[in-house]
Amino acid sequence: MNHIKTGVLWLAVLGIFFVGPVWATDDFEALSKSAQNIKSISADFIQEKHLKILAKPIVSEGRFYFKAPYSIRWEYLSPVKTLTLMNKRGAMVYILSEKKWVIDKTKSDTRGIVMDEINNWFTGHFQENPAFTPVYKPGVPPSVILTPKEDMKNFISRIVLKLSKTTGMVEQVEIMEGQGNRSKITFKNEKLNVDLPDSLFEKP
Amino acid sequence: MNSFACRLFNVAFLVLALTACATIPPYKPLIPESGVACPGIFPPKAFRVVQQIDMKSALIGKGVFIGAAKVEPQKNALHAVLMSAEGMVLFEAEYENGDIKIISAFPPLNNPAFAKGLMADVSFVLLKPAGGPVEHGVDGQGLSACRWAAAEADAVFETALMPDGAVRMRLYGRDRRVAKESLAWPPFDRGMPARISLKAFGPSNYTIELMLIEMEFVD
Repeated sequence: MNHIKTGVLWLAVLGIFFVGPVWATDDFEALSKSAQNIKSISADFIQEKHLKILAKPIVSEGRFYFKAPYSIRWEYLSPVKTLTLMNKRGAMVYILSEKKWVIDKTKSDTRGIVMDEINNWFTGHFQENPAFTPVYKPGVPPSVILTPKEDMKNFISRIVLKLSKTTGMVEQVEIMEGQGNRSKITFKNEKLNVDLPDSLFEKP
Repeated sequence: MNSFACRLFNVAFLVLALTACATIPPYKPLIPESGVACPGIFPPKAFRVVQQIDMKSALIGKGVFIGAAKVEPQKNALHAVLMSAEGMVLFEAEYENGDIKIISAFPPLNNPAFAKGLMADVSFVLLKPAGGPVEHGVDGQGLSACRWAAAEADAVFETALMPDGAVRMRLYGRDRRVAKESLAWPPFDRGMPARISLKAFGPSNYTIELMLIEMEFVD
């Protein structure tokens, strides 16, 4: 009789472990699919850069536009104006010089990698990048924790993406770096599936 | 035609180089004058500062960065962070009495020569030279100037008040040539200028503009 009780208890315990991930995976897949239904996004963002040496964060503000499958406009409005455009031809970084946008050739190559990653997040493809191990955490809000594998570990300890429970859209990104430094980007005034002209992603 | 263009370029380059040399008068002792006050260019106590950094060099073209630093003049120390304009930390290091400790650096910024040069620039524009001035008076251009013994062996640090209210800072190397020159432009927020332009002379010619974003004293 005791053996049966013990067996039932173990089954219950194992059940919790098994049922948990299955439910979480279903939820994760549903959210990923929801995100894949997003065809365009227009949003403002606030970025807080926390450095160990500063008492308060450096706050940047900007605008973000996304159009599936592969177009992004990521624009910082303050305190330093910069602009990254990504379209089917690749990524291009612009800086303001004497009130005119000029191409920053030094950054355009590497920025393509970052923009690819952002594109993955906003299209619900959280498992696309082999450099990170994604773990889904259900909750309010649900989140995806991306832990870097070997190469990135020295610079990023983890990335936390907080998602909208209804649309699967990334609502907040937190990037934990070493030395107690971290960045938090919060999106607001989001508009989904609005009509965005292609020129927005091609010219400053 | 190509050969002509090349010669023309060489001549132009020589003229530019000579003009550049000509604009910087040779190092001479200051003419002593009573009542000369040294410009209060540096904040008097420990502070934190965030600046936009525009860098221009023949090697990399133009780049925009954000710099943050915690400066402790009493300890002759500072902790500096160089970030991309988007906030990614590219380089972080500490400086104290000439010693540099790199905390993190993306390649190729982890090169010790780069780290040394960068921290020398940051300390040149943000860190008050230790001790009092060793010389003060009027320079060859009639500007009120003060000089300190710089941290580097045999180097001299100089400040001079310009007619338009800007403060010129110069670092003379042991050969008494100008190694670096910066102009700090008003308005000054508790000693911190709104804009600093730095020009480094020598083989790695470059200019850096620093625009103040925010500054606060450390409690």
